[in-house]
Amino acid sequence: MAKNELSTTRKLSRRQFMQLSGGAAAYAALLACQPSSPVSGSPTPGGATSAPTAKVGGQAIISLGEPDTLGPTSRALVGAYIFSFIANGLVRLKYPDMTVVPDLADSFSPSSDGKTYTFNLHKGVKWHNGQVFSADDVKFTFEFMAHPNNPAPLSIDLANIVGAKDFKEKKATEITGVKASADKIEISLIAPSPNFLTSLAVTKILPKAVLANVSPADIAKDPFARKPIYTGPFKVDEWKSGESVTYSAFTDHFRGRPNLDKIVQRIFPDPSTALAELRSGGIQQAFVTADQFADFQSNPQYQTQQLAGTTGWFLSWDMTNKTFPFGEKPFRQAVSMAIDRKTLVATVFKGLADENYSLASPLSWVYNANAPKNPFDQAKAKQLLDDLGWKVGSGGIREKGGVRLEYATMVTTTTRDWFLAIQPMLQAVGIGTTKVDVVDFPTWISRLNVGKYESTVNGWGNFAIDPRSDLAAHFRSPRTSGDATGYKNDQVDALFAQAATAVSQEEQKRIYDQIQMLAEGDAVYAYLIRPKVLEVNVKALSLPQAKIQAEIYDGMPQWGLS
Amino acid sequence: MIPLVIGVSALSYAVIIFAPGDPATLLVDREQMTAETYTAMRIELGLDDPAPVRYVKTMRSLFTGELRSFRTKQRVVDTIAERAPATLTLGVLAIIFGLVFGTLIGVAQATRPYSRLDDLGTILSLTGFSIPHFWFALMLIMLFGVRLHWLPPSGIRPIGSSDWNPIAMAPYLVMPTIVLGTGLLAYVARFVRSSMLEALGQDYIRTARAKGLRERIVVLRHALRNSLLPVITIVGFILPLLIGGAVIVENVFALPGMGRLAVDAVFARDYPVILTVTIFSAIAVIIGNLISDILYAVADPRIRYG
Repeated sequence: MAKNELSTTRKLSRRQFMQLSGGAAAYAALLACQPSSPVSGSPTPGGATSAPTAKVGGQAIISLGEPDTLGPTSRALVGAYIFSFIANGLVRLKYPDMTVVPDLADSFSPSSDGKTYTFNLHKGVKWHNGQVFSADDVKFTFEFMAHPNNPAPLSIDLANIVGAKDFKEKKATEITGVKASADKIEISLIAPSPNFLTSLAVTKILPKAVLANVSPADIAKDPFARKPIYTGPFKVDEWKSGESVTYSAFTDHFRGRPNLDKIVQRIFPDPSTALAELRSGGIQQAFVTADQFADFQSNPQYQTQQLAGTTGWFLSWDMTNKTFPFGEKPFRQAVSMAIDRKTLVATVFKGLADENYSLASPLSWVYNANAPKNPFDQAKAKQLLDDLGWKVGSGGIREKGGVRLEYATMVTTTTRDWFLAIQPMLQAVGIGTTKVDVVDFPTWISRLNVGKYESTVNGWGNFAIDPRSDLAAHFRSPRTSGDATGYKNDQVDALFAQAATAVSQEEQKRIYDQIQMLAEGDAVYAYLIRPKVLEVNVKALSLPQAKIQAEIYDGMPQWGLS
Repeated sequence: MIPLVIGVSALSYAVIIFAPGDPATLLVDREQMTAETYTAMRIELGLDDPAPVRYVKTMRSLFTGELRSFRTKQRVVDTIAERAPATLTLGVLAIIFGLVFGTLIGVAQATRPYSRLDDLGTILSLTGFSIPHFWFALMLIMLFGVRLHWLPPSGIRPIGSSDWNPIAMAPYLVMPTIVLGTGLLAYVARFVRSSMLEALGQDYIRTARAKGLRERIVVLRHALRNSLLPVITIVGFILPLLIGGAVIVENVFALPGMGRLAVDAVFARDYPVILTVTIFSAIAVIIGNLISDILYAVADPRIRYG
């Protein structure tokens, strides 16, 4: 029932979604297009290549998890997927390279000091209810987010807009830094920020006429949360709780109507049911697990795509633990060297995964290919443990000072199966792994937050809007998020501080390369694998070619029946 | 009944809040979690009040209908109202299926005791007892949904329909009803068989046969009527089992029912939803028992409640 804990939609935050959705290059491209030269153009939403044979009309039934809400407070990964085909921002991210491209704004340009952005809005955009979109809606959206009644604190990017803080604290009646004129929006920032445009891409514009009288505190309770009105290529028809969400083509969409007339999203709590429906023709598209994928690959009635793995998995420890040598680098290196990733990929994942050696995704611009790795080397692993004074004792388990090297590993129902394959690898170098704590995801994350564990199988979705935050979340101290490894390296912290003030892209890259040299050199984690994301659809339905999962949903207007 | 509900709610509330896992950590972005956003979320969810205060507040808003899900912010009563019809439909169908076929099998066995047919019935009921719901469900889906294409593998009604049209829904409900009702069927068959055997040995049956009544009449009118009495009591206590089974069946068949709502809520640590579903189930069991008591009195003139 609870397959795929870390990757099921309800558990992933929006932020994590952005990490999952392939990000990195975006940032580089962003910096590249920083000041001057206005960016313009009119890409198809999603920007993916459309299948030439796709005709207009028809419906597709797909499997996708249930959103928490379809209003702006959605924190579920699936919510972000859905927003990509029902809503628009001023700008959007082009997949898979994640560059920022125009959306509701036809073009945008920053001032020479990088503190003021001007957006020229597309003319003739309509809301799903037929009303006309205007610059006032954009200003309204920012004020809705920063509203004093909104229980969420100001995000860093929002707080960077001139006047947002005063508005939040009721010292002003509007955000002075957001100026709306006929077809233009001008946004003034307190300080130049390379993250600003990407943060705009996830800010979906809200209809002022519909929400003007709704308090931001109550938005999730408003009917809008179940049947929202946006400007995207599909509109929400009906959401049947626990059953399905139906979308229909918005024929007045400003970039033209989508191919399909209707999309029905069915909600399957158990992946095996979705699989049965896919086989019986009840649904036309779904994501499947590695053990099922080969069947579909060899079946001429289906089309498959292998997408890049979005989550990297690793073993981590509570380094503040004094009983076991978790705080000692050679121990952590030894564990990493004990892991035969090749076998793991071949057996557990049927070859449908990549070996993992880093926190940053190798596709990301921050990734430093030269950062130290600790690949499989059993003999060296044994040597390192011997040198630390942990000698092989009874039953092949190492001992030191009367303590047996036998500690508990916290796993979820998903990672338990993987850990079964890892156990003999650790056992082979003299680490006792029979103490396994199987917990559910909420328990797992709570215990991780407070450091109430010895060791765990941990996962992190990469592909962030800003891949630098992946590194900061794990290697900078103090950490604000739940990764209680206790890791602290003053040099690394100094570099993070330095990066905050570094302006040029080269400087940024140099600093983050160094951070990885140091932190990965400290072997904070023993990396495992990155499972691929496996897409299956019936032949009659044509989907755009994709590199990452988010692209599949973003390219929904190009889906078509042949 | 009211003290029972209070007892059940207090107990389940305690169980829920003592379960590990903090709802606020699940609702604030893992990566953006700072002391401020976390505290703001805990205040929004009211998690910092002492437990008894939270319990009283929760119960009060439950009875005014204002209790809302942590995750979706929808009124819990609205969500239950959306989800209850599927579970109730399934439950009623499963009970009917179990009673009708269980009785038939039990009667058939009792009239030919220790025959091949009796053995077959015994094997069937033992299998029915022991078969795990999820496995049985998956096997039926594979056979009738995927291989033979006779029945839709999952869902409760055709895509696109929003009403509760019994004819359109019938094919969707066949497999879930069989899976959920099989346990009850096995129970009923065992009960009917043994009480029938007992009844068939009674003096009044010999009298009936001596009068020259046809065997059919003897079995159906004289023996069956008396041996059905204990069956009524089973329905009362099988209700909790049905609710437990519904959790599995609704998940495998992707039915939009309360069992699934409960599972989702548990994984999201959505306290208000868990509590409300638990209370509703408790009330259902209490009412079920009450009905079976009343039916018992109706069916058996010898029983009168003072």
